[in-house]
Amino acid sequence: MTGTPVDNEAAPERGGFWNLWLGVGTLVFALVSVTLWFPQDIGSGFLKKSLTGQTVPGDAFFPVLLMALMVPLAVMLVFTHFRSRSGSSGEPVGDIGLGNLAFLLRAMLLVGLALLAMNWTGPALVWCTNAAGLTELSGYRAVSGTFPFDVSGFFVGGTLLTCGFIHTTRHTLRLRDVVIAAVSTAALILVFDVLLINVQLPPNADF
Amino acid sequence: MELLLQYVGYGMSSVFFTAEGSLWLMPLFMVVIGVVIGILIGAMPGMSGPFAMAIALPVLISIFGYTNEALFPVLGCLIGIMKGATVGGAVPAILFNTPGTPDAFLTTLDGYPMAQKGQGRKAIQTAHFASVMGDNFSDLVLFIAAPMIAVAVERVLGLPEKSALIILSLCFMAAVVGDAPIKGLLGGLLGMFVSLIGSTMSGNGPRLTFGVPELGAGLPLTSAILGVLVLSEVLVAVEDMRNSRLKNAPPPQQPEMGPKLTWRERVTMMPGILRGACIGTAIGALPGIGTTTAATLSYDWAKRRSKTPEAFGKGTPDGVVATEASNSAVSGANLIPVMSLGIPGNFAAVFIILAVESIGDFAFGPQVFRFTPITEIPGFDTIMNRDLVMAFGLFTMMVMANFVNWTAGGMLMGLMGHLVRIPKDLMIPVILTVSLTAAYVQDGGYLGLLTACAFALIGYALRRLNISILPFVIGFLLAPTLEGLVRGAFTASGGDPYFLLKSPIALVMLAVSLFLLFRMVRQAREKGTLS
Amino acid sequence: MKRILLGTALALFFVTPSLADWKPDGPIRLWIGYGAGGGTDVQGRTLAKEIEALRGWQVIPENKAGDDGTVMSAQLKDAAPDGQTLGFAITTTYDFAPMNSDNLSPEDFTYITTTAGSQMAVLARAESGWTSLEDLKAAAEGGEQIVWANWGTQVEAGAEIVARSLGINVNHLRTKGGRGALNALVSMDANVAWGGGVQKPLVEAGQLNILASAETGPVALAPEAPTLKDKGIDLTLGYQYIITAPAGLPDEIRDEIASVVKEILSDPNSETRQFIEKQYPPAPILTQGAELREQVLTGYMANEKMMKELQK
Repeated sequence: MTGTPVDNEAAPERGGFWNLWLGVGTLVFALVSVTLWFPQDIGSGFLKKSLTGQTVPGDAFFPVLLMALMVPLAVMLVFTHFRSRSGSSGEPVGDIGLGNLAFLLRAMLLVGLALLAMNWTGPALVWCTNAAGLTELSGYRAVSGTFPFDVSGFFVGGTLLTCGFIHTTRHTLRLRDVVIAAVSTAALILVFDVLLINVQLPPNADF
Repeated sequence: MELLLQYVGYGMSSVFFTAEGSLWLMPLFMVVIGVVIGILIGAMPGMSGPFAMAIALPVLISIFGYTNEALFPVLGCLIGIMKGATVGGAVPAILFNTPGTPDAFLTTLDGYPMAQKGQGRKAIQTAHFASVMGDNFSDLVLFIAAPMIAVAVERVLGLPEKSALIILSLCFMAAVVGDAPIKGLLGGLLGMFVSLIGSTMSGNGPRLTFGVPELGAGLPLTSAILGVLVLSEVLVAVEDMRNSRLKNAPPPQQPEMGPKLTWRERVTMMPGILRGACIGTAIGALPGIGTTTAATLSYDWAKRRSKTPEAFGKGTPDGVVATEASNSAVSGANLIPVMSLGIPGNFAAVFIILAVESIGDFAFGPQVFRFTPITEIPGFDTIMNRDLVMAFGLFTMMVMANFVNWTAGGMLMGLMGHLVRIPKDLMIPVILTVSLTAAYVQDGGYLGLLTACAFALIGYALRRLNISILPFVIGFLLAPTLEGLVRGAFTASGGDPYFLLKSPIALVMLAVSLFLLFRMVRQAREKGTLS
Repeated sequence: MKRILLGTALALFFVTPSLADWKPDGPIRLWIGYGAGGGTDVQGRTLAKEIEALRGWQVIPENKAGDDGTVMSAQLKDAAPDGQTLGFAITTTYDFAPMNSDNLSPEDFTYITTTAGSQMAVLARAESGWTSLEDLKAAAEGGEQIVWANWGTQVEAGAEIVARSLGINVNHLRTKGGRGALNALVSMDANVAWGGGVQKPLVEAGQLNILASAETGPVALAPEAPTLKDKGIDLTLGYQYIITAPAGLPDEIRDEIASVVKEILSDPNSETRQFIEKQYPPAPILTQGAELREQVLTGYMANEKMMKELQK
């Protein structure tokens, strides 16, 4: 899981300006954190007076300390970028290109869509059964612990998620893949919802 | 001595009997399950022990709950996976030249040629024997060293020294893992920083939450680590598969298995096993240096000491022995810093710590190894250090796991060549769904799931930029402890700004950290110039 | 937001019919303000199970740990007051913590019932040889540096009050939770600590001594140890475990839930009751409804006064 010996083939040159970006990015992050974020979002300062009048560390003590340690490291990173001989860019570094970002965007969209399906299938099912006159429910919350409503969203969303990523890896989606996705999701339902008590599958803990 | 034996006795029986005294085989059962899963996972290319542990932990906790009784079954399974995976990785390495785990890479050097020569069975049995023996050796060292270090540490180390020790471990880890130490250390600091979100001890309300009340308790631990370790790997694997567009190669032909390994041959291997096990144990006890380093060192050492160095790489059992004995010996020894100090040194240890922190009221650290006299008050209760009993119970399960690995593992490895390979392009998407579900279930809703997703992006970036993830994870895990220690040391010193530099031990540790830092910069510049 | 809309709709749905025998529409979520596996969690989960068995209501426990229940409470405040989202925390969460918080006030909640009480005590290591506050005072006057482990502002203030009454100087060490304070004491990072109940096994094992009780009476583990009041220190730090709901919960629902809990905890065979008797001895504490609200609000004012006086 950590790099295998064959895994480090990425030539350092590929990194280009990444050491510089990371160094400068860290510096900017530290600056913004210490000047804007921390004062807004931390209740007590770097040091504070305790009840006894002692000086004790506040909640910002450790975060500021961490930022203070990040700064010299970031400077070193920038430094190695400029000090190393031309044709290289300091510490070995990989690369994230536009292709990678496109892939990430696609992955995030897939997960987002699957989560939407997870969230809304249950309420939609309740609406349908109510409309069909089968049930008289006040809403999904009332049946968020009742089979089959409670697992409907997870089943649809989970299957969708698995199928989406199978399609991403294989570039195609066979009927067999859909069946595998549905069966594996059903197996998860069996483990978490049938065999275990007091465990809530998505999205039930948020209703 | 008598007291020690009494505790060992209590520890061993606590694994097999419930508090009420009835027979309880669940821990044993879970150890077996764990070893089997571990061997299977280890044998799958692209999967490793920590990977399986990450997914298993939330599932196990859902099954067994959070009470003290859950500790043995959950830890038993995790330990089984950890040990099984180191053994299982060797099978595809030997038969098909495709290492299941990164550290099995060196096993291919001699194992695969052996299989090609029609000695597949012998190679697998050699790997198995060396693995189990190496494992046993390092467990033995763990059982002896962990209590001793713990007792020494408790005597010597106060708040400032404990703080300095964590800082030193992180610097060491960044220096030895991966080849970008400065970025590794920056990652470690970032890991520390994100773990500060939410939690405060001051009573002034949560911090750095952007006003989201759900973040008040901090980012959920298991989900975050699941995200940064497993999901990021899943993303990388999915992207690589997507881009390679290669159709699956036909399943490789299994070569002729050949004769069995004789007991005579096993005996002659013992010196080699012992050498490899010693190297693995020594390496494993240090934080951050993993199985791959141990295997490489051991292989080189064996080759140099050998009378026939030219045989290495062409299919000598000595090569298989050297790598397998040492990479298996890492897994026991890396629990030494965990059990005595509470500092994990590799991913497997991270999950053992996570399990212990989530479940029951047992916690690793020096306080575990206090030999409280056992006194029985009739009609009331027996008074003893229950943490120590727990620790010896844990040791018992490790021995059990080794035994299962030795017996059932051997049979399983024989069959492995026949197992149908699950296609990776189907398995990885299923793992993604399982992981996200586990995150949701374990950490109370979308907060857990979204945390896992966010950390997956961080992990993805770290992986793609060739920055080691280990310092990030360890930093994330240890930051709350470190903050408590630093603040405590500062307050207890009465607000002295040089509180960390007042103790000579702390001073030495910080000086070593600084030296490591200095070395990193030089190394970075040299590497930059070389390439 | 969605949750609130849905909740409001449900609340409206319920205000119209008779509330005489209230019954939840779907599962009740019991938000436990502490992490899984601890004493509060076990108590909450067994109670949930027994409510389900007694009434047939589906009760789903969920852990929302953090800051002594305040993280949970900050979310509970915005839930629908329909009796289907309940919180389980301690009285300190409501009668002290809001003082330091911009977004919490004791008025934000409906207080349903208490279940059990703490065993707040001053602890020292047995090997230090201290058995009373006088020993502590003598040691401090003998030049020993006293480090007192606590887990929150309120108990730290309490430690300071004790120290001032004894006329000694104390360094305060903030740790994570009651267990953290205990660990600090055992590993010699502190030499005095507060304990709310987790100290039981260590006191029984003879590793720790109870110097004084901070409850209104002696603590069960050391019936002979004096209370702080006995020693002329006007301070009680005891707290109770409490079930709450968002403000605006109709009284009928409040009383119905309170009576279910009362019924369970009054039954000597109840698992929850037995757990409480063992963990938070001697017996369950059942303060409910209006009386409980009164207790929390008075406690809040008393705590405010205490902090003001300390800061003078």
